[in-house]
Amino acid sequence: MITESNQVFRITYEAFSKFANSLNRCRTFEEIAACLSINLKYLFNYHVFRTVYNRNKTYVHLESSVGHTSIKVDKIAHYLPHEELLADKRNPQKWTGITSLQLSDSFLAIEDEDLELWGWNFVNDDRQVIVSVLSGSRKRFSQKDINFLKLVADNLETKLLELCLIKELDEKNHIISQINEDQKEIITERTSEIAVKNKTLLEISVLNAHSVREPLSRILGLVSLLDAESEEDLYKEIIPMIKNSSNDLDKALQNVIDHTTKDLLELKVKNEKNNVSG
Amino acid sequence: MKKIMLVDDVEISNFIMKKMISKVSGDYEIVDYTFPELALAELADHNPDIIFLDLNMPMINGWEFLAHLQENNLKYKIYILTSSTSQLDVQKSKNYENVKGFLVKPINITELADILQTVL
Repeated sequence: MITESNQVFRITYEAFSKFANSLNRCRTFEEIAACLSINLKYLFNYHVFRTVYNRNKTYVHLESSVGHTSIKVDKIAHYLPHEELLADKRNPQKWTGITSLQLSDSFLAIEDEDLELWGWNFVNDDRQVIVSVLSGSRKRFSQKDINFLKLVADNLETKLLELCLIKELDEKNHIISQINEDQKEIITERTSEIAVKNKTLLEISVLNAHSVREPLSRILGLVSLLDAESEEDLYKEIIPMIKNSSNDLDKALQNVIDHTTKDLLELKVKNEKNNVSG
Repeated sequence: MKKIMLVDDVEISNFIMKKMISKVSGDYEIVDYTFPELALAELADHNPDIIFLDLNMPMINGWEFLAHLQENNLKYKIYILTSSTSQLDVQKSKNYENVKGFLVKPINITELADILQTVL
């Protein structure tokens, strides 16, 4: 048989399941705020529902009151005074004289009798969720609502962790793609440096080939004359010229060797400098 | 008598050409220059039928020599005679109307005989 209290529980559970489904579909922090704004009022009574979620150095501030829900991701805790107390002590608390607590305007704007402020600090591994609920005689939060509040806090914590991890992943991906871009730039730069060096080396080698070929072409020309010359001309003219041209060829080759060695050394020094600075 | 002018900064190169030309025939008059600027100055005096021109020379190189002929509208027939085997030089030489051929040293005697017979 279904009693009245069972009936209420069943309706609330249906509302909770609707909330959980809706929360599960959220892909942004704003969607979470919208989801809470719609669904939370069917689960329990409150004037203000507030959570501060924390993991590493990320804080998510979520505050919902009638007609207004806000969510903000921050690097600073920005705890309210009663949240400082909860963060220190970790056990649930309830305050009645809330005017002494220096609460935010959204808390103080509530006009109701017998205001009560409830507070919890749920810690799960490296995550912490501080939840507070402001209730009054018109909207009374009671002991039996605590179970649903815990379920809400648990679901919220899971969802916020998911979104924060996605955010971290995006940031890291951004850093990685930045690194990739930098690498590409460096590679392009180095490739063009190498292209310039290759061109220089090619020019040097062409220049060298020509400087060597000049005296060699003379020697070949003189040798082709040998057969037709008289012995006297041979000894007086041709052979001294072959000697002369051979010396020129030797000098040209020496020059090529010296220059190439020098150029190679310069390239090597440049490369070593690049390696040190890179 | 047909006249041949040799322009090459290396004296031995001119010597080789003189020997080779005389082997082909003794009927040519040859003037040779190791300073191209002097060759240009005395060009009108000789009025050669053909000029063998080196490319790589100090002061005035072969290209500048050719540019001078072009600027002054002088129609002398030029054969480039160089130790360069560069295709870039071959292509560049085609821009000059004066240039009738591009020869790579050492030139052989049959090639030289052909040229002298066709041109002169």
